[in-house]
Amino acid sequence: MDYPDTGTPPRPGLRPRADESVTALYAEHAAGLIRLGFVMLGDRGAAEDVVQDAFLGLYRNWDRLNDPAKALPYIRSSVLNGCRAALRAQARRDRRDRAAARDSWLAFDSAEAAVLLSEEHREVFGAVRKLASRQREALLLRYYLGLSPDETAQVMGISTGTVKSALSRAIAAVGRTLKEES
Amino acid sequence: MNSAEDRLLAAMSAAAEVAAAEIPAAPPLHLPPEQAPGASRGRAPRPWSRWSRWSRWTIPLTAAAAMVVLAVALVLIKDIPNGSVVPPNTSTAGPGGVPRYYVALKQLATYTDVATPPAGIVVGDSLTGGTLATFAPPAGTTFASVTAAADDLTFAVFAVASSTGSFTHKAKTTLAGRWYQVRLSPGAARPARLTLLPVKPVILLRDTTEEAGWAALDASFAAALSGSGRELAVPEWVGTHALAVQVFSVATGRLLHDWTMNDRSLNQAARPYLTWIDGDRSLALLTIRSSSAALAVTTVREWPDAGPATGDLAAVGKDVWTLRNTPGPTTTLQDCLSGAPGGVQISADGKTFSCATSTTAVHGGHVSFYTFPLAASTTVTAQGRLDASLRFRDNPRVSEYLAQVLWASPSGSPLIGMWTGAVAVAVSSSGSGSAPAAPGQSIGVISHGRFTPLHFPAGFTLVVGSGIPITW
Repeated sequence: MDYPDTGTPPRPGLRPRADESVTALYAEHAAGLIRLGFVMLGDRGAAEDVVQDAFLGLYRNWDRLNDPAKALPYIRSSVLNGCRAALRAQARRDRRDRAAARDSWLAFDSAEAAVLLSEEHREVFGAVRKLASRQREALLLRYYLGLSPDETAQVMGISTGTVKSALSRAIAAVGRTLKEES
Repeated sequence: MNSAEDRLLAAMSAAAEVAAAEIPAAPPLHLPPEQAPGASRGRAPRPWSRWSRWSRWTIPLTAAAAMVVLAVALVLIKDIPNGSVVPPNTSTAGPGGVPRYYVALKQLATYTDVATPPAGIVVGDSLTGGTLATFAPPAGTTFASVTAAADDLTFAVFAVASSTGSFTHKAKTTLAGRWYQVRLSPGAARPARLTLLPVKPVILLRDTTEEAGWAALDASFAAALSGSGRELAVPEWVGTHALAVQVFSVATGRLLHDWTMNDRSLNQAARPYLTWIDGDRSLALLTIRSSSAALAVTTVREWPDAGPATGDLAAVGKDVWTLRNTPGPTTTLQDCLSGAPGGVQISADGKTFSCATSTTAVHGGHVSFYTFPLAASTTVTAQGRLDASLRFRDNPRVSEYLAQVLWASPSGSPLIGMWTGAVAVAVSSSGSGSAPAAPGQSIGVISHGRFTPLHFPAGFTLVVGSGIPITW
């Protein structure tokens, strides 16, 4: 769980209105975040719910956010946490119904995916799916969203060093899997 | 950049194209009417479900059953003969006065779907590059962390056994850890001996989540053998926001002290760091509070290894240093504290701490090793003492440079540190102050602005991870 910076709230009137700020942030970043959720959850509706909830949470906590510049890292963390919660719920469902169980990470099965993805891409996705969740998340934030290691650390709520080591180990593991399967 | 990274980047780019094709735009945002400032929305407490009541009974029962299985497995490793390779030089000090004998994990324990061999340990001489001994783990066990006494002859290693023999994160398993002593006898026919310590086993993971396993393993890296080698201090997460520090007698396994710290701002994702001050006199614990790296508060608390057997860590000793992260661009000290996967090394006199920074840019990389006073005067803008700095030329095979301080002398200088470029390949033989040409890794003595490589067997590779897999 990540929290907004809670300090002394600035005096009313000196900061943008919550609805305007959150709406502007949503217009700029929501589609990208829904796509991120879609990549993790494999379900557009679930991804949209997670992102809506995250922006709603930001809106409700806006008065506690003492630096508007932290809104984007906060919303990214919220989306990541929302996706984690959705994946845990999905895992519980999978345990009840093993026949329907599937790993939703990077599991594209649409017509668009059939056109845009090669066998090579699917092999890499398969290797990523074999990683621990923290390593998957670090890879996705770094290589899919293009965040820096510092930004990735901020979103994941861990140190930059841990992000770097998780990435290093994840790349090594992906390389090992691809080599084994080639 | 290596080929696996190239393939990852290409695949992620393709994933982004698919996601953009599937989701061209976001639906409208629906916000409720603006609420009054400061208004809070409480959440109704969740009633205990029937399953959760049962689960509270089944967890200890499962753990007890797993312990029986693990006890049988672990007893097999009570005293394992080793494969001695090179009789050691009996000189007592390494270059620059640093200790010469090390114990290293052959690899770090990881939880992935990819089958990785359990980690053994290697005992070596960093003065000659020779190997004194290697110890393979028994079936179903992997060595996970190492710590050393001050005599350069006594070490403790933490071994983790899996009830199923599997360390993949999707396997239903219980992980339990035990401590072993590695005792060196340079010049003897059997220069290293591995012996099971009588310290009670630790249950790390009870068929729960991989994240719990990560946190438990991370905490094991913070364990510390006292200067004399007679006591072992072990941090353990005993709750989401509760950290215990237990001190055991190495000779008898008896629990000497059990301190607990309860604090909602403690974060399991941020590994604690524990060290002994002035031999066996007192302990120092570095913790990072808050769940966001940007808002982290780093605290070092020091307290005497004395007094009642149990107690509240908040009530003993005192905080000797606190650093609160500030918004805006990070300072050298903040980079140093957050950038090193192994965290910091506190000197045994309790007066300094050392850490490293690394940067990677299009024109090359840069790693630096610093030492700071462990005192209230060290604020977020402190510059510290620059112990050594290395620059690397642009190398397309290197995606990230990492640096770690692996060992600090009792007075804070010299240090032993390591740099590594991207995914480690092999120990570099040329990691001097000049810029090495190829990605790789080098471990060396840091003193007076110079980085002097130590010696390791051919092909020796230290895996960079969230802990330090080598100690002197």
